[in-house]
Amino acid sequence: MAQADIARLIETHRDELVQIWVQAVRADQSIQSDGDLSEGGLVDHVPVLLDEICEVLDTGQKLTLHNMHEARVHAYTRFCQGYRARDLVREITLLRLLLIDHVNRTLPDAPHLFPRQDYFAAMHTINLYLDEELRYAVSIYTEGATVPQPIAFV
Amino acid sequence: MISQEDFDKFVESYNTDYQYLLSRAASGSYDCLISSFRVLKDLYDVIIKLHDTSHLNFRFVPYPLTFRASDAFLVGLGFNEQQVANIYGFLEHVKRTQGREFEDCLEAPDPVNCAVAGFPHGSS
Repeated sequence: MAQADIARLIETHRDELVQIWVQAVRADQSIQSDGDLSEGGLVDHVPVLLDEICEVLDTGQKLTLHNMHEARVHAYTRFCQGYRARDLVREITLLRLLLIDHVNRTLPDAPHLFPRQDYFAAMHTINLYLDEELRYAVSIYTEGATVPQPIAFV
Repeated sequence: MISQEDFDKFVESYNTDYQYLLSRAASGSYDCLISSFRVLKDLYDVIIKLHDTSHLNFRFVPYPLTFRASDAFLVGLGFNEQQVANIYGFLEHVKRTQGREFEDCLEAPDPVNCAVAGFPHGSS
């Protein structure tokens, strides 16, 4: 097994993971911004973001600006939705924990099939990806940017 | 070194082009759009790289480039159901005319040939 196998563990449970994450966000009393969002609005770009994470894991690429497009879309959308920055951080935390727990739960308990360094490499990738999203979010939330106008009304 | 004012103008210019190209996709006007998106992607990469490696700030947020458009994102940009369907149609159009995904077309080093709506490059 390798990082690509971890990608498959996430890919094959993607929709289920998104549903669990939605429930976790809704249940988290510290998150207030989700109140005005429909299920679709809350789910937002998260399935696509998971697809991108899986692709990075699957191909063994290093994270660069070229393979983090969907993370920036997610941060951007939350910014436009009026989501509080601290709520975005919290929902990313919940996603991070969910992914780590899921991988731990579904990984076969067979160290000879799955070397520890592959597991840690995958965890590093997931963490770096989500941290880079937060880093981008900090920029757009704190650098005085205004919310862009919806394109269809320009 | 690029000034903040010039960077702001650069981002605004990119956003204007982005609006134009996505609006074209939303209206079903796909001709040669892929070539234009490649140029736009290069601009976007420069903006993100400049921001990431300098003291420049996002006083205007660049519209994010996505290779895997989602309903939530497109509706958030103000597009209606038909326009969203047309944008997805553009992704299908790219696959049909270029023989590869939109993302692969944008990232590929080789030149992309213009395709008239609905027809692969070179067909008459």
